[in-house]
Amino acid sequence: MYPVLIVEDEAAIADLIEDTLARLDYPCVKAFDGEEAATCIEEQTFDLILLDVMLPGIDGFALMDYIRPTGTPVIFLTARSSVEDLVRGLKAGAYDYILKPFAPEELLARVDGLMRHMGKRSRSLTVWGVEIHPDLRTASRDGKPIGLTPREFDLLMMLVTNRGMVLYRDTLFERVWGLDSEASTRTLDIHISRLRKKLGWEHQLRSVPKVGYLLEAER
Amino acid sequence: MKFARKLPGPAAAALLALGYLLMLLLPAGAARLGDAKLLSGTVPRPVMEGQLSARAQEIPLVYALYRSRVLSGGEDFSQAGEAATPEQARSLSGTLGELEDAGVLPGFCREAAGSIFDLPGALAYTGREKGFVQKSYQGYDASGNARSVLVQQQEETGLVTVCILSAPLPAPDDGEKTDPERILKQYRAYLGLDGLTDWQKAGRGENSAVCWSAEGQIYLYCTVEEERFALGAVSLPPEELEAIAAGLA
Amino acid sequence: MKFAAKLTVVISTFLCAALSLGGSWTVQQNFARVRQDLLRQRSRRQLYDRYALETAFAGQTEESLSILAARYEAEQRALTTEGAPMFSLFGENGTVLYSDLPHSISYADQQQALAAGETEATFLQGEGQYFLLLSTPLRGLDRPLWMVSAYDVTPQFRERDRQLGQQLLLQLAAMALTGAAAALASRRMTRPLRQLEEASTALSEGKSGAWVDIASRDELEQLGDTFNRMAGALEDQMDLLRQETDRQKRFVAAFTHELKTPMTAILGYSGMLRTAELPPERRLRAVNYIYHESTRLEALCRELLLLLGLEKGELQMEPVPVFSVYGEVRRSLPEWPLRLEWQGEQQAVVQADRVLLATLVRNLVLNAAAAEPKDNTVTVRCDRCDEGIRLCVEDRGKGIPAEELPHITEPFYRVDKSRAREKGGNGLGLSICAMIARLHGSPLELDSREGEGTRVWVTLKEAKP
Repeated sequence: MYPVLIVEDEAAIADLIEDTLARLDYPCVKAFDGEEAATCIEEQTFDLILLDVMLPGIDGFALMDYIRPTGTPVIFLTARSSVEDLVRGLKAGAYDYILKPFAPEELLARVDGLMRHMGKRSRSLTVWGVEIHPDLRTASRDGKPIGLTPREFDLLMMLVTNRGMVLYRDTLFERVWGLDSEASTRTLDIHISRLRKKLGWEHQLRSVPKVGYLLEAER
Repeated sequence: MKFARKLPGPAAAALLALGYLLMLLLPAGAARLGDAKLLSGTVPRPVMEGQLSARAQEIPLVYALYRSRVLSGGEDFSQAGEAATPEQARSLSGTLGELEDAGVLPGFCREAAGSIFDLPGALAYTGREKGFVQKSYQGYDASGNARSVLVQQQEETGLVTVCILSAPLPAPDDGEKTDPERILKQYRAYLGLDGLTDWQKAGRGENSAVCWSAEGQIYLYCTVEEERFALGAVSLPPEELEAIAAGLA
Repeated sequence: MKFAAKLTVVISTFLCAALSLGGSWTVQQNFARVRQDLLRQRSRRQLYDRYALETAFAGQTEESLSILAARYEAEQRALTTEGAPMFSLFGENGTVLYSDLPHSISYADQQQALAAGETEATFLQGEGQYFLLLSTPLRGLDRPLWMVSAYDVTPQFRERDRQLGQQLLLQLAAMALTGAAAALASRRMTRPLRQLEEASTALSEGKSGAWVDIASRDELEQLGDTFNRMAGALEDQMDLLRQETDRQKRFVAAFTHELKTPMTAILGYSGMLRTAELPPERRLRAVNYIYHESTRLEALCRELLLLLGLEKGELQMEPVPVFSVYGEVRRSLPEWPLRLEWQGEQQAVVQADRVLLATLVRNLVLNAAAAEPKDNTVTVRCDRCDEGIRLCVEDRGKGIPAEELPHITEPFYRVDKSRAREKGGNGLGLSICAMIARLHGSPLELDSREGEGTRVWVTLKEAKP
């Protein structure tokens, strides 16, 4: 597995992306301008390049000519939402684009989706003995499928992507059930206990009082 | 011409063409109008040049001479004669006598004429034309010289308008009587032309005198020479009279 | 109506009127002259006839008059080429003694002619023929006699009509030819107008390069030149407008970018913080980023408001001692690693807005510092010059490349993008300085050489003491 190249001149955003991708264990390399990026591309192979269009020095689009021969997929990061720029980018060979400001989760989902689609990631991951197939939205243990409702699966994905970190209750609820949900957060507790039973994660998935829930990370 | 704006192109053009045609027909229309005016009334006649004045026209002789001149443009005296008859001689003689009686013709003229009447083989001519009678008598004397007497009279009044005697004339005993001017004066009175007021006269030497009136367009002449006596009145057009006046000035 | 057509119609109408009136007058005059000649000749002829008759009738009886008249008529018919004279003879009381006039001339007509007398003439028309009647008394006779002569003047009338017809044809031909020629000429001469129309249309549709080429050496050529000048001026204006619009678009794009970037960081990190419990160092980093980006946003807002506020142009001008402004700026940068020094006149007093002038100097000084001068010094210099007091901020730092110099006062423009952002600059500093300078009536002038240093100055009016 090769790292992801982040080409972004704003340090804050570059670090944000790096932190976000780190949750799924993606190694990252950061370049702050066009020349640096060109040097990196020359020296290393990457699975994916996240490219800011507005770069000092070499333009992001100009860099595309440089990247295209390597066949590395590119996702544009751009603050410009005008149709011409987007079309231009896609024509230049970008795989996708993300508009700033972006939610890190969205970035993560896109990147992950792309990687799995390209086969650079295995289509499934195993956590604490449970095989999870994000595309098919299935979970199974020892080959035996575990029936999960869609909500349960979403909750499972949230826990798995943030394993090793305590997830705050309210945010967790908001993320899975949505901002406008009228259900109470009690549902969250019920879903957690159901997951524990179905997946057999009584010990690994635990609640942290007054804070939230935690899925232990495997060592 | 606001309505013209609403007309479509061809219609407007047709209207315009019609207008032009009407304008061009104006002369014909004007002519017709003029004709109508002409035919309904009278038109003044232009004044003719060379006409006798009204007063002159009242004098029969002047009028007759003038008329004769217009009609023929002059008398033609070149008529040849035939064998003379005594009546012709008498007639001539009588005319001359009248003239002498009027105090116009000097006496010797009649005597000289008388000698012509006696010439053998004489030719005479009598003619009438346009109100005038012409009598001429011509003979040859012993020396072979031609001698003639010619007289012209107005038929109506009997006034003598031409009297020409071609014969040796005896020397006058009374110079006064043979003064052409005096003769002319008498002649004028005889003709009754004193009514005309614009007589001009001129003497052409000792032997002849002329006078003329532009109003009457009449010219009187008298010539007394050794072998010729001429007296006459002739109607002349105004331009000729002017030329004469200018020539004699 | 098209102008060319108008011209043609006007010319044609005048021509038609002229031809019509002229023709009418000509034919009229001709005919009048012909009539006068007729009258003269026929009067003379009548006189001749009259004299002849007077001569013939002298001393004749009344009975023989008609025979004599007939004889005269026969004589004349044989003699002359004009034809036999036609006349009637009248005695007293209008009795007709002789007449060889045609039937178309009635007794009444003849009486009328008699009544008119010898000074007038009568024209009449009968059965398609025209006659001239002249009456005259015969003189010198025993009895009063009158003679009325008739002359056929039909040929003269016919000739006149023929002239009219011929003239009409000629005039029609002339009108047709002239009309065609006028139409052609009008079209040709109004071609410049059509050119102008086309060019105007092109111009109104926004097509560039609309111009006319009129070389008719008259007012139309002048009009064409004026039009070209106008079109040129319009295009220049449109170019200026386009440039202005482009500049505004660029501003909005740059501004949006400047805004979205810190927002992304703030939203991203705060999202992270509220999702899960992060290890302490991650948490600290996230919070730091949130804080820094927020201050950046705040500075951006502040500077933008300042810039927009300046556009209103409300200044409070008063005499300001330059040195005291320098002192203010100096005091506002207490922990500065660089050295700030003053050179030049200390006593100069300028007419300026104190606050804005301080902002100007401060921004310039900060910019100079960001250029990392080799000798760690930024100099504020104050000189007297012809136009007033020149205030200059100098440094011996990195300098600005020549190609970037014209753009440097554009909003959000940064020469060295990544570094300036690190140091917290928003790219509005020089725009604000330029605006302040402009409000004081002077451009912000720059002189810079890469690697050697930069000078930025403004020329202010000296305050009258």
